[in-house]
Amino acid sequence: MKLQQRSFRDDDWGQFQSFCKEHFGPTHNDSREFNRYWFKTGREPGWSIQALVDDEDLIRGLMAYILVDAKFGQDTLPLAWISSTAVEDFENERGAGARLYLWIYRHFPLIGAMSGNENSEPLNKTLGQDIDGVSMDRYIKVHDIEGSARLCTQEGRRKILDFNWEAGPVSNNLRSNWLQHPPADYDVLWARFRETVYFTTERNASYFNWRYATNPYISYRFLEMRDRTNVLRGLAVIRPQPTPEGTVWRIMEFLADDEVAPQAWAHISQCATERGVLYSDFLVIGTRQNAHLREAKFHLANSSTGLEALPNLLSPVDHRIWTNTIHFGGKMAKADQRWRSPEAVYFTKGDSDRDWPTAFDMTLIDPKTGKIPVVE
Amino acid sequence: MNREQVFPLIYEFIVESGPEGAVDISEDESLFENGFLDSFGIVSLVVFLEDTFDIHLNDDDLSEENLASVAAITNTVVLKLSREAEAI
Repeated sequence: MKLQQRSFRDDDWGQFQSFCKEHFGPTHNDSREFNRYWFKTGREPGWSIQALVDDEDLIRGLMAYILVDAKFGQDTLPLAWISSTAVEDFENERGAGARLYLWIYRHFPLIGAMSGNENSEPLNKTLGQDIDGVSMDRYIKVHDIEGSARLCTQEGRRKILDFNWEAGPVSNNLRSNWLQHPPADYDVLWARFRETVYFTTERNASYFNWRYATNPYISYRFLEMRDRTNVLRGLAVIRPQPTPEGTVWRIMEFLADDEVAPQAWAHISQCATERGVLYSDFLVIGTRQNAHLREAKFHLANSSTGLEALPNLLSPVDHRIWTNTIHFGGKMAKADQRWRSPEAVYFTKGDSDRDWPTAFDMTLIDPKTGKIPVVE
Repeated sequence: MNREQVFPLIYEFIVESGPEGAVDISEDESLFENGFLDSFGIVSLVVFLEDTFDIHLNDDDLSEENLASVAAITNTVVLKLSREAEAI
C-alpha cells in the first residue's frame, strides 16, 4: 500500500471523527467547532492538518498543527506548533510517521513542540533543538495553605503545609480592572514588551482576541494593571479553575514593563488572596520573569521544592507529573541560532495546545452560553 | 564522493543505530522487515544523510524502495550527489 500525503479537506470530516476517537481518545475534542477554531484559522488556506491516505483515500495518519505568528528577531514569521499526531500502527512500521514529521519541519520557518511523549520526543529531539537548561517551568504561589494542601495526595500534603510561604511585597502603585477583551491600548504595551525577547508568539491584541476572548469553551479574564497616570503597564490573562476545594488561578499570560513587573506579580498575588483563590500558577518557557516571580514569592514547582504536589491538571484533579520538554525547529530556527538562550525565548501555557478543555471540562459547559462557567 | 566512500559511512550508521545486539547486516537486507528502520529511524537517517553528505532529500527520494536496504540508500545518495554536482 502506498500512502499519499495531502492537506485535510472539509469532506474528510466524517473520517476525522472516527480516526480521532480511535487514535486520540479524549485528549482531542472531536467537535467541528473546536477543530475549526484551532485548525482552520485562516492563517493559511484550508486546514492546518496533514493527512496520510491510502489508495482508497482513507485516512491512515493525521498531523494537526496550530499555526500562529511569531516574533523572531526583527521579523514576524509563521510558527507551527505540532499538536495531535497519529499514524495507524501497521503503517508506522514503514515509517509513515516520519514523513509527517519531516514535512512539517521542512515546510515552516519555525516549529514548536511542547511536552513530548515517548513517541514524539525522539522525533522532536532529532529534528529540532532545545535550549540547554530550559524547560517549561511552573511557578506557584499559595494563597490558602490549608485549602491547597487538601488538593494534594496524603504524601504531598505535608510538603505544602511545611513550606515557608511568604506573603511577598505589597503593591500600592498599580490599579487593576477585569476585562473580557484586551484593553484598547494593549498593543502599545505589547510593542514595548516584544522588544525584550528574541523569539515569542506575537501576543498582540488580535492574537489575544482569538486565543482568549473568542475561545470556544474556556472562559478567560484579562487583568489590566495601570499606573497612577493611567498608562497600561501590565496585563495578565487568567483562567480561574474550580476544584473541589476552591478556585485555582492559571496565569496563562503575563506582560509588564520590566521596572513594574515585580509590582505586577505582587498585584496579581494580592488580587488572588482577596478573592480567596487557593493558589496561582504560571507556566513559562524562558527565564526573563524568574527574578520578578521570586521577588513576589512565587516558587518553582519541582522535586526539590516539593511543590509538584500541587496538581497540574485540575479537571479532573490529576497528580501525574507531566513532561516539560520543549523543542524548536524549522528552517529559520536552524539558520539563526540567536533564540537559543534562556532569556531570548518567552512562551507560556497559552501557547500550543497546553490548555485544551478536558473531557471533564466539557461536562461543565453551560448550555446557555456554550462555555465552561468562570468563577468571578 | 563515490560508492566506495559512501557505502561504509551509511553501513556504520545503520548498524550503530539499529536494534541492540545487531552485529552484521548484508547490504541488501530489508531494513524495514528486520526492524532497523521505524519512524524515528528514518528521521535519524535522513538527518544523518543530509548532514554527512550535504544533500537535500526530497519526498520522492524518501520512498520505501530508496530506503529499503543499505545498498538502496547508498544508490540514492550517490545519485543525489551526482545530480547536485551536475546542477552546479
